[in-house]
Formats: sequence, structure tokens, C-alpha cells
Amino acid sequence: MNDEIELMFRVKEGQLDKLALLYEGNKVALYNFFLRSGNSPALSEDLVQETFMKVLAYRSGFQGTSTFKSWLYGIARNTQADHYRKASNSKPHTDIEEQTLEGGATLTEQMESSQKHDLFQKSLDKLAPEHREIILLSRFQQLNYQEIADMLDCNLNTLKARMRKAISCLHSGYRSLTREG
Amino acid sequence: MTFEQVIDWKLATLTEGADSHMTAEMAEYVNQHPELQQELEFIEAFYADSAVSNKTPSASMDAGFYQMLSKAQAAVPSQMQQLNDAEQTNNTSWVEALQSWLWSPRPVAQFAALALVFAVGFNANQGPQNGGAPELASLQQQVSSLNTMLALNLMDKSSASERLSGVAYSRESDLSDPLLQQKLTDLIQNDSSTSVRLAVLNRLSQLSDLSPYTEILLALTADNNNALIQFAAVRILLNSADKDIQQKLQTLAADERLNPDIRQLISNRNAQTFA
Repeated sequence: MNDEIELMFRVKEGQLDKLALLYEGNKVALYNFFLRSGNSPALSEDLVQETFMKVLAYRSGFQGTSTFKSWLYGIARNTQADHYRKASNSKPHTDIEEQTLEGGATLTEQMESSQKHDLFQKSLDKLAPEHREIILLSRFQQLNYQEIADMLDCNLNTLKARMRKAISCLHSGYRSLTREG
Repeated sequence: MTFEQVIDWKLATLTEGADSHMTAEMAEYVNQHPELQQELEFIEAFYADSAVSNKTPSASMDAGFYQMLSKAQAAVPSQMQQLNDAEQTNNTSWVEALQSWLWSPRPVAQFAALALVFAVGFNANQGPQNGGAPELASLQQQVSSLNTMLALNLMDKSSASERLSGVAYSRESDLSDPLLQQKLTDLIQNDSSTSVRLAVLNRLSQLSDLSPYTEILLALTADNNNALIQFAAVRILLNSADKDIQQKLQTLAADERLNPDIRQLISNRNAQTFA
């Protein structure tokens, strides 16, 4: 973690080759963050590239007050938000619902041993973006509460409350799929 | 003990590595609340889902990143030089150096464009020596239409690199085509990729008549969300000899909400003009 901060400071000083190390260490997780957020594979790749381009462009603003991951994902979520704000009347991209349907067969093939996984994924896809984002950052990107709180610019108690709400919504969605409730 | 405290504890054990030992008080509380027990089991199952796996991006993502990085590395020394120059002459911007590597077309597109130009020349030379002008004009028009069609098709692709190729093809097309104008307008305003938007801006910078795009360029200059796009847009407008455009830039520069670097750029250029 501290190594990444050190690397980013080197990038800031002009050693741009160090960005390759940061890219290699984060590209797969970042790509999957965009995928799980409901973007198509092609768009997810574009968003990863756009995010690292912004890391380079905004390197002088890096202060190292939080972790590099926290800063990186902050840029990533802004990049994604910019995309959806600007592309609302542009060409359509695969939306979350489409991806769920397209991915159904693949998920079924991949998850024969675990129907639960399929249901978790579908419940996640049905969540509101703000709830899904917190769960993705915590569960899949393995950012800790402090990192997520820094990124979302809120305190830990607020974050915990949001997390509880997100998990509760996820559980409700899961129950509706399994007809538990 | 509250419902929320128990949920917080469970999440902390799974995400923060907190102590997973449930106290007697907590265990008793959970036993008294079956719905809480269900919630805890759900959370545990969700976090224990072993089937979660990451997908691997394609090699083209790596290629795109390293291409960008190598160009950035090459551009940094010239940026520094330009910064020094800017301090001395106040007439250039480091962003211009950064742009040069962002908008440059892909080699494939360059090759394709060159091939088309070669095809035009070759076919023109195969025609009769006398009276060949109408056929040549017709052939050139057909090739231009073909280029426009290719450009429009590529600019609709979901991959940024393909859209960049589309912009490169538009160099061989007639920009008076309303469909092409509409598409370029759409890309410049809405494309998710800054590289694509910069490529379109570079395309527009070659136009002698900016009138169809003036309002869009002014809007992009006023939009503080993307400094690179702002610099690219204002650079085109500053190079225009149109007095009305310069007047509108002055009005923009008077707005304190505008990016201070852009305001400075406009002021510097005007100071030079009136010096």
C-alpha cells in the first residue's frame, strides 16, 4: 500500500515509467470493477484506459493523504460518472440489465456448482448504483472502510450506515429472487 | 445491543479482519431475533462466495496503455521545454505538447488513408489523357463518399481505438457532409474517451470556417470538467481571425468561474494581439 504511494510520488516527480507498475498491479481489479458496475467489456477497457490517463494528467494533485487505491478508485468512479452523464444521449452501451441477460448462460455454465453465486450476482445487478458501488468496493475491490470513506468524502459512521442499507437491499433482492420473503 | 451494532460487527469481521468471536451478550441478542440471524447468514454466505473470479481484460487494453505511456514519456521533456518557453514568451501552452501524443491517429488508419490516396492517384493515371477530368472528379467523389461511410461506421464503434480510426478517416472526407458533421458534433460533446474528443478537436482545427462549430467550441471552453478539452477548444478559437469569436472569448475570460489557466491563456493571447 505504502509502496503504491511511493510509486505514485515518483510518477508525480516525472518518473512516468513507474506508472506501469501501478497499472499492472491494479488493471485487472479495476477492469472487473467496471464490469461488475454493469459496463460492457469494451467499455470497461476504455474506462480503465481513461482512468489511467487521468492518473497521469492529475498526478500533480496526488497528495498521498489516503492510499493510492482510494485515489485511483475515486478517479475511476468519476470517470464512469462522466461517461454516463455525457453519453446519455449518445450511442447506447450495454446496460446492466442487458449484461445480466447476456451473461446468464455464461454464469450458468461457470457456476453449475453454485446457484447461489448466480443469485448473488443478479441481486447485485438489481441494486441501486450507489448501493452496488459500496458493496463492490468493499467486497470485490477489498478497499477498507477508511479508504472508501475517504473516497466518498464521508465519515466512518455514515459509511457503515450506507453499507448496512446496501446489504439490506441486497438481501431483499436475493429474497425476492428465491421467493424467501 | 442493537441490530445495527451486530451487522456492523459481522461486516467488520469480514472486511476489516475484526475479532470474529461473538460475545455472549451478542449471541443472546441474535438468538432473540431470528431475522437478524437470517441477515447474518446471508452476509456470511455472500462474502464466502468462492465462485467469484476476476475476468481478464484483452491484450489491446495493455497495448493502448503502453502506447499512451510511451508517448507521454516522449512528451514530458518537450512539455518542460514548452513550459519554459511559455514563461519567456507567454504564447504557448504545455497542454499543446500533451495533446500531440493524445490525438495522433493509429498507424493502421494512417496506412489505410495512404492506401486510399494511392488508389485515387493510381486510378486517375490509368484514365484517358484527354477528357479524363470528369471521370477523375467522379472517382474522387466516390472515394470521398467511401471514406465518409467508413469514418461514420468506425465512429459508431464501442472501442475508443476504432472511433479514433474513424476520426482519422474523416480527414479524407468532406466535412460539409451533414451526417459527418452531426457525428463529429456528437463525439466532441459526448464521447467517453478524451483521446477521441481531442482527435475530433484536432480535425476541426484544420477547418478554415469554424462557424458550424463555434458555439460548441465556446461551450467546451467554458466547461471546467476536462482541462485538456478546454485547452484544445480554446486553442482553436484563439487561432480564429473572426472578431465575433474573439469578443465572445473576452466575455468568457471575464467570468471568474472559468478555469484560471484558460483565462490566463486568453488574456496572454489578447495582450499579444494588441501589443
